[in-house]
Amino acid sequence: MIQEEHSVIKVLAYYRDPGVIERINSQFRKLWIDVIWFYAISKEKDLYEFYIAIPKNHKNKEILLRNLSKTVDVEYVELIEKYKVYIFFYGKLRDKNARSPLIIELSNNNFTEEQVGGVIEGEKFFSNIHKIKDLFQEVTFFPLIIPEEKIRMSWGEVIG
Amino acid sequence: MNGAKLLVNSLKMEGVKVIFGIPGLANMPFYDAMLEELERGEIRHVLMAHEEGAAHAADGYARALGLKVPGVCTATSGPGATNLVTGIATAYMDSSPVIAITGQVVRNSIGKMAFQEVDTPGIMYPVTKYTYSIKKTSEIPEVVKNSFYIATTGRPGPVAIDIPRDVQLEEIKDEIKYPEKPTVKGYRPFKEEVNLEDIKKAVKIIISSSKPIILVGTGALWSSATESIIKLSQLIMAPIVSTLPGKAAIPHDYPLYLGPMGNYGRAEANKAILESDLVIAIGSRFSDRTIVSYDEVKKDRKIVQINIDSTDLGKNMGIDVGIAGDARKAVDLILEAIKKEANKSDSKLEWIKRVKELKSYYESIYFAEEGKGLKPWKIMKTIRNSIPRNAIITTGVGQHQMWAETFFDVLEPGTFISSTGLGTMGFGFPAALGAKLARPDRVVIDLDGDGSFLMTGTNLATSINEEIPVTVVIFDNRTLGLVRQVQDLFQNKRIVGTDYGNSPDFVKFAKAFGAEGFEAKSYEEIERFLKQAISSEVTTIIRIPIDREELALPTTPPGRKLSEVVVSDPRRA
Repeated sequence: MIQEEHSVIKVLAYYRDPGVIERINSQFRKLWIDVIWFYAISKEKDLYEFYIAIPKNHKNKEILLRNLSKTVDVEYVELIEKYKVYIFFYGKLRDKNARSPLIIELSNNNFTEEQVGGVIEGEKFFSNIHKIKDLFQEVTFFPLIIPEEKIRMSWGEVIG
Repeated sequence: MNGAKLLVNSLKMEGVKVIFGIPGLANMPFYDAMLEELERGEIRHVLMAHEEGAAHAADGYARALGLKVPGVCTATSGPGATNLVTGIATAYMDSSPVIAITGQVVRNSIGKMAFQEVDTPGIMYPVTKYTYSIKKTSEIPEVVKNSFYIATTGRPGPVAIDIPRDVQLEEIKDEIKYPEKPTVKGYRPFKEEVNLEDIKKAVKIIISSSKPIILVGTGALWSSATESIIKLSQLIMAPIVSTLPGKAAIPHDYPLYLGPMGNYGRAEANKAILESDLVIAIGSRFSDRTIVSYDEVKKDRKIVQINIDSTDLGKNMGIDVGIAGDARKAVDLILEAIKKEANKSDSKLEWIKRVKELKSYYESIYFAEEGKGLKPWKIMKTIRNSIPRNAIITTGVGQHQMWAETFFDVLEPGTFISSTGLGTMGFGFPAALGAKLARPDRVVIDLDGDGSFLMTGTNLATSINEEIPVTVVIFDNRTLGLVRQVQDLFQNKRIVGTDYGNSPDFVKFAKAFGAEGFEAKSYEEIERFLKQAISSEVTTIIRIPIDREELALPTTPPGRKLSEVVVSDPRRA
């Protein structure tokens, strides 16, 4: 089921200490944006991927993207609209209409990405102030949110 | 070498000369490690009366040095750290680079409600640009290097460093070289370079405008853009208005400067912006205090916004062109592009004539002498005429701040320092101490209110003990005047919780601390006491009695529009 009523914010951020979660979370709190679900995984050393679902039409969504983009520790910010979550379990598609990726069941620690995990599919937009600045000679700042192609992303390895 | 010594050496590598603070158990090793540096005079420690004052003093120090060098303050764990918070939040809101070093309980005690334990990083996160919690002694040099880098680059701001006592005491055997470069992941300062395509778009709009106006904010100060902005104003015949902090960027004797706009700004500045067909905002984020009514300001005119923080472009108000980058570089590029094409038509002459009419009309209303006692506008003029052109002014928060906003003429860039974002009462006096240490060659004057001064006035002991002579002018109306006037004018005269009694006597208060104290009851006395204070080697308080009924005007009623500005006392109508 395509989630029309929520947007997903993807944040890539470097981990120095658990305060990184607060630094990200506080951007939502300060703008009174409810969090529908929250998911985070470590992608590589020190670098974490956070996925946070919020109400789609929240009036502060664009300010959120801007503020996240300039938060120290945050490397990259992305907005995913009309998303769909698939959950895999032991290599089989368990739920193609999942509302969130927080229902993964685990019984031991030996799973691979193919066996247990999830995929989110949706329309990707980016709001990376660093990247915008890097490309500044080529792109105009506005609109901040630039539509890109539909993408598929893996949740990657899930460790229980 | 232990962690505390490593910390002191790292601060020296960053060129730190002054540290404002108060010691306690958790930052005591840091103080111990500083002793030799203090004795040799390589670092100066200023013992404050309260940690909030330490943060404001560090903030004033940084602002007096043009936000290029951070001010440093320190406090112990628990109440020491929480007392810093208001000062750090003040620096955060006004984008001032302050480094706050707090002690923390030993690592084994963390999270166990140990004596004087508080979650300092958790408290500091929302009011700092970044907060470090140091867990290993070896991290100290890198953290200090990164903290100074984060605090002074991009949009400047405060950084907190929390260090457990045992990390400070831990000995390290290996030599740790101070890093040559910062190593912050997930952070890059905003680029200063400007996109030429955006300049082209802006120039097209500017050339076709017949009634342009320039709105100057703090970003103009950061980039030292004063000269470029005045050239632009002359070239395109555009009057200049400013935000409250932006008033420090433009010499007020420039004939086309109309003053600050906004809630308590000059009526002619508000009126002119509403009659313009183009606003060129330089280094302003369009705060609610400045713009007041966004729909009204956006309607019927083009907006060009220049800001180094590209995420601020169009955030608070719709714009036609956004230019991300350094203010001076952007204005210089605009100047270069329009030199040959600038439109100096007759309609522009009409526009300038109209602006001058507005200015002289409203000045005839402001500068009246009716009513009891000394008039705030005339006191401000008297102070201006009695002090050097480059004297540094700090202010508290309240009616006196609004009078300074409206009537005190800044003549040199960067000489007006005020808490404009957070509006922190008590900022003025400790900020003046910091400014004086940063610029000992300058006369420093704190324009303060009775309520505001009382909040941090015990730092008078610091100014005497540490021999930091500044002058404090207290506009004493025995009330929290700005709150009172809103109650009086806009809340059906229901005055509640604002009026003070007769205590304290500020002249005796000054003398009790070893300072000079005067009461000025005439403009001549203000001038005389000021000159005496400037030549004195100790801090001087000059109390000026102000009628409690005096209003800070012009003002816009809460929730109303710029066009509804109240210029004269409505109680007399």
